[in-house]
Order: sequence, then C-alpha cells, then structure tokens
Amino acid sequence: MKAIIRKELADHFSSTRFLIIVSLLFMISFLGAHLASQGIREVLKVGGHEYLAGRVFLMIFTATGGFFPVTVFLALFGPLMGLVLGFDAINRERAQGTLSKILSQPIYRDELILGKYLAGLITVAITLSALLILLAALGLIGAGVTPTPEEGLRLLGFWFLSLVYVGFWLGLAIVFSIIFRSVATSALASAALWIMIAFFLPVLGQALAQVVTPTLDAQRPTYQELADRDLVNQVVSKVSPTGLFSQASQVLLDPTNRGSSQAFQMAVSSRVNRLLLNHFQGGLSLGQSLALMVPELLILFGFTLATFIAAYLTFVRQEVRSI
Amino acid sequence: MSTDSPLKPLDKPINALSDNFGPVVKTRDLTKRYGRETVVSNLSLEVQAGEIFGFLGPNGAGKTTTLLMLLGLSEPSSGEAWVLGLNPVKAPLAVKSQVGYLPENMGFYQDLTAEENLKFVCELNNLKNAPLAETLSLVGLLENRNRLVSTYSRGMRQRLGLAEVLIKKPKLIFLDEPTLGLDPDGIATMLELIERLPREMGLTIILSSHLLHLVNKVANRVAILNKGRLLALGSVTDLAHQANLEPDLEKIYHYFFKADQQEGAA
Ligand SMILES: Nc1ncnc2c1ncn2[C@@H]1O[C@H](COP(=O)(O)OP(=O)(O)OP(=O)(O)O)[C@@H](O)[C@H]1O
Ligand SMILES: [Mg+2]
Repeated sequence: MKAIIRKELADHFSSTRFLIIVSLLFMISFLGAHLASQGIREVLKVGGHEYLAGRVFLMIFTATGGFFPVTVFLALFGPLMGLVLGFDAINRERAQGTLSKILSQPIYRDELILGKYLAGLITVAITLSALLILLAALGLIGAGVTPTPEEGLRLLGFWFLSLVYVGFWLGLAIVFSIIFRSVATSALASAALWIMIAFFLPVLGQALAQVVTPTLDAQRPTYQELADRDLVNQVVSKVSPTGLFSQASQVLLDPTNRGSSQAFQMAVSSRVNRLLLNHFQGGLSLGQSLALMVPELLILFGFTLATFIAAYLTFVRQEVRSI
Repeated sequence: MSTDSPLKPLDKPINALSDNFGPVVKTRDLTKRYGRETVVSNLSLEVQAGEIFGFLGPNGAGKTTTLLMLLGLSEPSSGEAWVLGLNPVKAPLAVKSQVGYLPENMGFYQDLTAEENLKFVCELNNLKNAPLAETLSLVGLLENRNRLVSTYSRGMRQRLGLAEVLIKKPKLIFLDEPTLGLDPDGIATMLELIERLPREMGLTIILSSHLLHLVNKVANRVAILNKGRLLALGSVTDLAHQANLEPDLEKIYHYFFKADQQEGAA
C-alpha cells in the first residue's frame, strides 16, 4: 500500500488540476482573511475593546470584512479540493488499462482503494495545514494580534474539522469514479452533487421551513414561529455536510457562538445586549465549545465514514473488467 | 528461480514447486456466469510446467475471463482452479506474486518514463534491487528507458508490458494477445522473446492469440474454446491425428469449429 500512497501523492502534487484549485482557494481565502484583518485592525485602533481579548485572532477566519469569512468560503469551496482529488481515481486507471495491471500484482483490492483514499486525505491535510498557517501568519502581521494558546487549539480543531469535511467529498468523488466508467460523467456528477448540497440545500431548507411553519406577519414573527422555523432549519442543516461543517466551525472558532438559533438570539437580545452578555460571561471555554459541536462533528464524521465505506464496498465487489 | 534451466522445455520439470504440485495450472469444471449468460462453461484442463500453452478461440470465447479467474481477479461461479498448487480465490496474493499477466490492452502511466513504470510494478511486488536494466535490455528497451511512455510506439509498449511481467520472476505467465496491433517485425520480436522464455527463465506460458500460424510455431499444446466451451485440447500433432488432417493449426481450428456448429445445429 505504501507504493500506492507514494505514487498517488506524487501524482496529486504534480497535477495541474489540483494546483489550480489550490491556488484559487489560497488566493480567495487570503483576500477574505486580509480584509477581515484590516477590519480588525481598524476596530482595535479605536480602543475600548478589551473584552474581545483572547478571541480577536480567530476573527480573521470568522469575520466578514465585507467579503466571505474564510469559514464560509471553505464550507462552500473546500469540497472542490476533495472532488478534484477523487473524481477520476478509479475510472482513469480503468480507462488507461492500468487497473487490471495493478490488481494482477500481489496486493489486495482493499489496499488500492484505501491507498488512494489515504493519499487524498494526506494531500488535503498538507494543503489545509499550509493554508491555515499562512492565514494565521497573515493575521499576525496584518492585524497585529497574537493568538492565545486556546485560540491555537481552536484553530487546530478547525483544521481537523475541515479535514473530515473535505474527506467526505473525497470519498464521494471516489465512489463516483467507481460507479461511472467515464471520467467526464463522474466529474459532472460530483459537481452536480456539490452544487446541490452546498448551495441548494440551505435554500431548500429555508423554503421548507417557511412552508412547514408559516408566519402570520412576516415583518414581526412571533417567538414561537421563529422557534418552529429554527427547528426545521436545524434538521435540514443536519442532513447536509456543508451545514454541519458551517455550524461546527462557527462554534469552534467563535467563543461567543453558542450554536444559538435565531429564536434564542431574539430571546436574549430582547432582554440584554448580546455582546454585553458575552462580555460578562467572557465567551465559552474551549471545552464548552467542543461539547457544543460534538453532535455536528459526529454526524459529519458519520457522513465521511459512509462515503469511504461505500467506495470500499462498491470497488471490492466490482468486476475488474468494464463492460 | 533457477538460471541453469533445462535447455528444452518439457525435458524436466522447472522447479521444486511445480514438482510438488503436478500441473502448473489445473481447472475442474470451471464456470463463469454473468447474469444468465454463461461465458465459461465447465472448463477442465491442465497445463504442465515448461509448456507454451496456446489458448485459442474467437472473440468472446471466454479466454480472458478464464485467465482472470486463474489470477483470482474474477470469482468463478462454480468449479475450481489451481495455479501452482494454489487456489486463486483463497490465496490470491500467493498466486499473483508468482504469476505474470500481460492483459490484452496493457496500460501504462503515460506521464512516467518506462523505467518509472517498471519501478512502480517492482514496488507493488515488494521487490528491492530488481534487475531493472537487465530486464529492459532483455526486451530491447534499455536505450529508451528514460523516455516517457507516451512517446512509445505500440510495439515498445507491448515489450515494456512484457518487462513488467518478467521483472517479478514469475513461474507462470499469461499473455493475452501479446501481438495485438503489432507490425510484422514487432510480432517477430515478440515471438522470439516468447520462445526464449521457457528455455532461459524456466517459465510456463499460457498464450492467448488469434494468430494461429504463430501459435502453431511456438505452442506445445493448445486448447480451442468457443462460447465458453472447450472444443479441443492437445498438441497440434494429436489434434491433427484426431481430425485426420495435416498438422496445420489453422485447418485443425476450423475443423473443430465446424464440427461444433454442426453439433449445435443437430
Ligand atoms: N463484466 C462483464 N459482464 C458481462 N459480460 C461480460 C463481462 N466481461 C466479459 N463479458 C462477456 O464474456 C464473454 C467472454 O469474454 P472474454 O473477454 O473472456 O472473451 P475472449 O475470449 O477473451 O475474447 P477476445 O478474443 O475478444 O478477447 C463475452 O461475451 C463478453 O461479452
Ligand atoms: Mg480476450
């Protein structure tokens, strides 16, 4: 299996396709982080934001700064990394006639599929490390804030979360590369599912929520109406890996985030200023944030595992020869 | 692997393994069905050590399917097979480490050089210090070893395929139409290599091909398949005797073929 992983890694890092996607991801998240860090710097200049101490650094990843926050960007476009590494994993070998050659060497089929999956995951891990380190450096220099150890740990958690998330898309793409004999078809199918899950599902969720829980007065929804709608939204977002990743990363990177719903926010803000509340409570500890995101992480992990198992089973059962 | 192999095939068994296990390949009622269609039907045959065994039959006869089952790459629907005394379904790795397979459309990584392609096969076989240069020179590719495979001609690719098969020092090799798409010179080179191998490396070869006159030249024995069924099995002389024909494989092939069709019609 080492031989397969080694070859796949060499292939990935010299593949033009992958390099294009990665440079795109790097450039855009750089832009996002840069704008965010400038915004932070402006705010800090004014002063009087001591209550923000210990959570400014991570705002580089979560603040909008007039553009996508890095987390949202990764949620939407990070999948491309996994897809581009996986969509031709098996069918390319089949088309160029190397599949039967590899399989006639003394290795198990499992090793081939596992090797390809692991190589993809390692590639993603390396790329994500590089990306997060560079963005952090940008924060250090651009916004002039140093991370606390806890922020470092949160970032590490985010790295792992992203790896699991991109791993889902990698597994999915590999499944398509097994099912579809044509590389073009599996590329198209991967892209279609990506657009579906990352972009349409949230909209669909909101639409569904509105249908299921109509509000009497759209301008002034009642607390109960909001709560109902939240419930539907939450359910929908929990069947979408993108939704799960977004929620979990928000909780992880923003200590003030309680994974709270609109209804909760309304309930809070009607009584006290939310920021003030957070100020007094000083945000959540790392442990509290982790505990909050456990369900999302577990479900996401389940999704990722499911795509890998699907890839494994379809491949091991498939005839070597294409029809 | 013995380098002091016998001068002529069939003079004496090749190595200890084949000594112990009798025939190098043995099948009993080997059958493969895809859905309702039976593509290999109750195939029973034996291949002896040191033989060049011709595996003949029209397109779709089931030759490749049989080879895949012998390699453990496709599971038989029923029946059994032994390769080097091993069951390819139960011990696929042991079989694959001793059997070389040149698929009908051998593929390569186009963006790697010939030598890099060969090295990858060595890695998959866990071979350290494999004789890369020797093997490449055996198939006449030593000078071109650092060229990308994408610049290779069909004949060169086919010979590189043979190098990838030979590098693991197999006891048995399956060549599935190794002359496909080659020009007369390429065919001659390939044939010469095929003839040398049993003598020089102590190999047993199963050769599937549509070029009957070539098989006639090199094969010790042949099997003729049609629609998954075995029509004839034996040396060309034996079969000629059975058919009351001169020992010309082309005529023999058509004889058994017609006989089968008449039987089918009756
Ligand atoms: N995966 C598959 N699913 C269904 N049928 C298949 C599959 N693979 C092969 N076949 C069928 O099995 C039959 C035997 O095919 P096989 O490739 O073994 O023939 P062959 O003797 O090698 O022919 P050729 O000389 O064309 O290489 C053919 O009819 C083919 O259509
Ligand atoms: Mg064939």
